[in-house]
Amino acid sequence: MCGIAGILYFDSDEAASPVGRALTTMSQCLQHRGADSAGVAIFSAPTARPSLQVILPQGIPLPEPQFIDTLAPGRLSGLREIRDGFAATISPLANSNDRRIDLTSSLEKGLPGSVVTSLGYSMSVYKTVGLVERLFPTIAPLTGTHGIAHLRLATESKIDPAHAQPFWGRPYADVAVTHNGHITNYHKLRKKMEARGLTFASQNDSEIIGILIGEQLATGQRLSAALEAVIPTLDGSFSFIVATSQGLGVARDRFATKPLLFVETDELLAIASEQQALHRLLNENIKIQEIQPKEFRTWEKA
Amino acid sequence: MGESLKTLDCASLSIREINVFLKEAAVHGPDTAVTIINPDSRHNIAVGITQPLDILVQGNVGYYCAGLCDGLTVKITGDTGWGLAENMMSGTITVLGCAGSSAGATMRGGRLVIQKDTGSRCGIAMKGGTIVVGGNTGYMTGFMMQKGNIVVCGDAGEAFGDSLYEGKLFVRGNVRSLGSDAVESDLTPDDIEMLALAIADANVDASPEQFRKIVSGKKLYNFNTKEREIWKLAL
Repeated sequence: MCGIAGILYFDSDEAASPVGRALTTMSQCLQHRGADSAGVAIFSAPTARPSLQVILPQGIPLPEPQFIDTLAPGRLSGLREIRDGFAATISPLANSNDRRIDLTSSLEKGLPGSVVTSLGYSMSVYKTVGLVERLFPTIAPLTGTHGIAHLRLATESKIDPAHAQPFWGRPYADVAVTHNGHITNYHKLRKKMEARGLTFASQNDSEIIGILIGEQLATGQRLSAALEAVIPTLDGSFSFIVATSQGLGVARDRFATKPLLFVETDELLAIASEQQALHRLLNENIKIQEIQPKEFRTWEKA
Repeated sequence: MGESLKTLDCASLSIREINVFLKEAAVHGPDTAVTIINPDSRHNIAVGITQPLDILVQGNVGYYCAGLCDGLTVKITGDTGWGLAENMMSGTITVLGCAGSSAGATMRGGRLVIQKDTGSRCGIAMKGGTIVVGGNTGYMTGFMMQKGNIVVCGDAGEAFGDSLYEGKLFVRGNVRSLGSDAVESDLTPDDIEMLALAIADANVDASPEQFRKIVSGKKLYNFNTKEREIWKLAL
């Protein structure tokens, strides 16, 4: 059991919609579904250059900027401290058509135990161990266009910020997934993906979903086509929400044992594991719909 | 409504406090009536109440509402989460809105009326009583059902009546697909009478003759090596 939620404001050209506030309200209602760790990914107007976020192991102080620069010479600027780590802006790539930005391995090797949790032009990921309320001071004021949240009840892998969701679909920019369920063919899939040169930040089965979707998106497909290609390869139970710079996508497995509900109005789309989150965000009289077994849907910006 | 009226505001109460209040109210006899306000889609409201009580819930409830109960009369004005009236023994539960998955799971008796739609696995492993759905129902409705009636006034999802042992399913709209070993049968005069009551409960404009009846083909009762295809499909 985990709690997942998503919010998308359809008319948000200014990227000034209260995404952080909406995710705060919904994740508070879903807290009882998992209290081991929590996280949100918030999308706002894209910046000219991508940024990345790194989480350091507990108790390790922020390294000196000069040291970080030795790990990625000339590639990082605007270094700033974030919760449990740092964020930085990435300098332009030599080949701007290449969506894969391989700074992650040099940073993670140079800072043992650290994990790059987010990379993109419009995505920021915030994670914590324990209750989601620890994130509220940081995320509640944040505005943007859309975002996703996760409340984790850990079953198999470790409990630390790196294993908290949402997972970045590394190495693909601006892809994040929040998943409730268990991908039973994870090890099989991971082995094949590692043979294709992909790397993983955790031992958590949920991480694989975002990477598989990112791989499809990198070939130029739209999100709906990417989901259509990825879903048949997944075995096990899943209700997940994927967020990209284009919008949100959702999917449920054929037995639909993990809940997923949504409300769509002219102004917004809200998705959550349980109806209370949707009622608290909107009101008691909204029309709630359920994502059907085997169904996947996307809400993409034009 | 009963003689003794009580209002229970859930806003400042824990679920345990709510259920203790209801259990104590039920002790006062079958004429006691409680109105629940501010249910706030919370889980486990009115669970484990085994003496008759008249409950009106104003609003939406979460999971497992009115589960493990016996002899309750419940009316819920909003929607419910999954596991509604799970293992109900007797009583009448009416939902004016929609219900989530597994409504009436393992129910043994009584009457469950959902005036709008319901999710997957409605009436799974049902062992008695009647479920009436005014709208559409999700996939695997009546999965492994053993006794009782399920009446769907709208459309039914995939695998309708999958692997049912006994009991009857009735559907007025389209069926996306019948489940393994679910077969169509003819309506009897008793069925027509039962359907007329169900239609009235569901508050829909329909007539009993518009319904199709689905029962068990009983081919899954015994293993037959010559019918391997059926077993391949059965879950």
